[in-house]
Amino acid sequence: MTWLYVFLLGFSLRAGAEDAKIFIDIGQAQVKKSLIALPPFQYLGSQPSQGGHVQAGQNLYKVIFNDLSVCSFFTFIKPDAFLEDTGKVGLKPAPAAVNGFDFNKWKTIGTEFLVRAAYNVVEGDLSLEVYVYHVPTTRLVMGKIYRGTTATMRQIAHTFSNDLVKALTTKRGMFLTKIVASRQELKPGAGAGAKEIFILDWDGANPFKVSSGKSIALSPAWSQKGDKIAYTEFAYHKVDKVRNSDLFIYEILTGKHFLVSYRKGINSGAAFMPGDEYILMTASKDGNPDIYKMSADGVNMEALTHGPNHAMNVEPAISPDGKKIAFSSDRLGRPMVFTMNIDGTGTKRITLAGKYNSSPAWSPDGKIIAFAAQDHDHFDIFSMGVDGGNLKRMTDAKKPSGRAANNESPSWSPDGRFILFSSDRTGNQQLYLINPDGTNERRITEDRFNWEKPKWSPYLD
Amino acid sequence: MSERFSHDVMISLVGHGLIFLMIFVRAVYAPPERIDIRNAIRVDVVGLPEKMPVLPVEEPEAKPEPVITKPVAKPEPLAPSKAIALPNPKAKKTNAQKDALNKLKAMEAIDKVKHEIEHEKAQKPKPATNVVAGNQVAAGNALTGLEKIEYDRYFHELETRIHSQWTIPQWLTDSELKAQVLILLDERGFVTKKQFRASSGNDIFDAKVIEAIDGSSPLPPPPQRLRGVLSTSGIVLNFP
Repeated sequence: MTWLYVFLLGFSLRAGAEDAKIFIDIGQAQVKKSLIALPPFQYLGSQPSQGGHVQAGQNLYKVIFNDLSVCSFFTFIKPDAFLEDTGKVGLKPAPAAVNGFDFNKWKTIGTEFLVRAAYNVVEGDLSLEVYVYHVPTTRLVMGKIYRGTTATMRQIAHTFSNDLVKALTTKRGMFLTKIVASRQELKPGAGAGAKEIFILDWDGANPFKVSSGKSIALSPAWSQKGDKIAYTEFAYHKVDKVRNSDLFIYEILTGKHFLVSYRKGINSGAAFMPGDEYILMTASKDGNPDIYKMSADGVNMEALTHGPNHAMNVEPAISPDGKKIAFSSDRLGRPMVFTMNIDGTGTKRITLAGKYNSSPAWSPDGKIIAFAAQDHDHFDIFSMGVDGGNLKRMTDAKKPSGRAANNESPSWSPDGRFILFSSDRTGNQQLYLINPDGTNERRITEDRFNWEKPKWSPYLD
Repeated sequence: MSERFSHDVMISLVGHGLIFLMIFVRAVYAPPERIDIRNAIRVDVVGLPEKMPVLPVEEPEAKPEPVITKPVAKPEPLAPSKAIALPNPKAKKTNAQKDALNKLKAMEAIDKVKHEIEHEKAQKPKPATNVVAGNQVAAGNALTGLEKIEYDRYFHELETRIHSQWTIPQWLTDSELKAQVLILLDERGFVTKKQFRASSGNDIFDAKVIEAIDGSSPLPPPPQRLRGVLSTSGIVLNFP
């Protein structure tokens, strides 16, 4: 009886103590980049110190370094600060591993993540063994061995970067995605002025030509599955003896081109709808450029906009949930961004400022629309909520002459962490990335061409 | 007699047992609502402004009625008491040392008078709450309201202090992780205990939560009346 009394008394006191809890919400944390050490990769083979294998190792390192620096999660520790000769200690920690590295030497310099990697090249086969440690907790974050050929070196590097992002954030990385854009040859001579469609790795590497009309090809767009590209090309119609802007679809797997719309006038600005069975596009077969919903084979077509008053309705962009379309139109005077329902009803103007607003692009979560706007004599990239609120300028770069540069054609990465756009800040139009908050701007193409109308692919892995 | 006593004791114990059982069942199956401490809004009851008097043309000198219907008692001036003879600077002094001593005595006397006046003021009852007309704030007479403001200010200080130490890596920003930690504070503001009520499930996030608490300790000392609660029941910190 006495014990029951004590038990009940204890419990009732405990229950009473629970009554008076005070709660405080601390709020969103400040964020900072983590310090990461990425020592040079060790070579595990027995070939002499000169040769192709050295180049392979350096290239692996270079691609991974670029991936991790672009993702904006990390600040790299300079190799001068390392307290350990990373070429002489192993990939695993001591004392469990013989000749292992010492966690304490990395803790001393404030390392949060340590990447230990080694590679080997044997008769064209490339392998990468890599371990990532969280130094403060001495925990292994990930450890993998990747195998491929030297030709797939970039893929191996990007796959590791994706795996690291996944291990840390539990979300997919974008390092195996690609971009498609129209490239203009500026060099005088054969083909000068021609624009062709190219597919590139997200970092601008491995350009691969899609179109071959040797004319003007522009406004490419990825299918939702990432297996097709729609683009417009000024094709020669032999019967009418004129060039017309026709819509083509390129099938990546087979390399085949399909002409899907060659109606008189404009057939351009394609955007695949969810499921890839229908395409939104601009056509001017009836006189005015209007937005149409067309079956992917080009047979059936339904107008979603109807002018008015000789207005143009162009650049349709479908929302991620497939329910809304953003587009630009000059129906009220200056070109502005509008939204409408998927059936063409409920049109709403969402930009009010600026002289010329164009190229709307939905963020993958459907909450933000990026677009290009001209406020003085140049275009910049802006973002806003889907109702037009919370307008923010993301770019304000200048040319070497001091004049403002044009920044145009925004396109979101599939993870929503980057916006791709073209800019003429260096003279010719090149491709750039920026974070949606306007930070971490970086150039991804460095060549003599003009790159226009870039579009980021969906996840391809 | 002994049997009767034992019987009564048994009835008493059973009765108490039932009462505690009821409390226990209530605590388990009908837990009390959580108390969210948020900034209080101080509402001062003020009188509406008086109607502005229409001044007759014939009597331009007429003055409007005073806005404050009952004047607040003014503090007594800190005038030197008549009983204290201040040194006369014009008086002729022959001995400089004596003069300095007199000055010191006079200063001490002034301090004593000041102290007496302040003591009297403290003893006097405070004037009744004024009904103030117009856009003037009343002094207020609700002690609980003022305490609430004091507590709110304290909790806001805690939140600010801990938030200033609350940093997570960039790669965790989109993770939507949450954690809840119970902390106990001593009267000096030192964290005497910290315990996860709900872990985020991510070791690094949880470590950053603990870093934020450790980095902000000692926290501001709690107000007198909160010390008991904060040292026994504590506060639950929600991250974020």
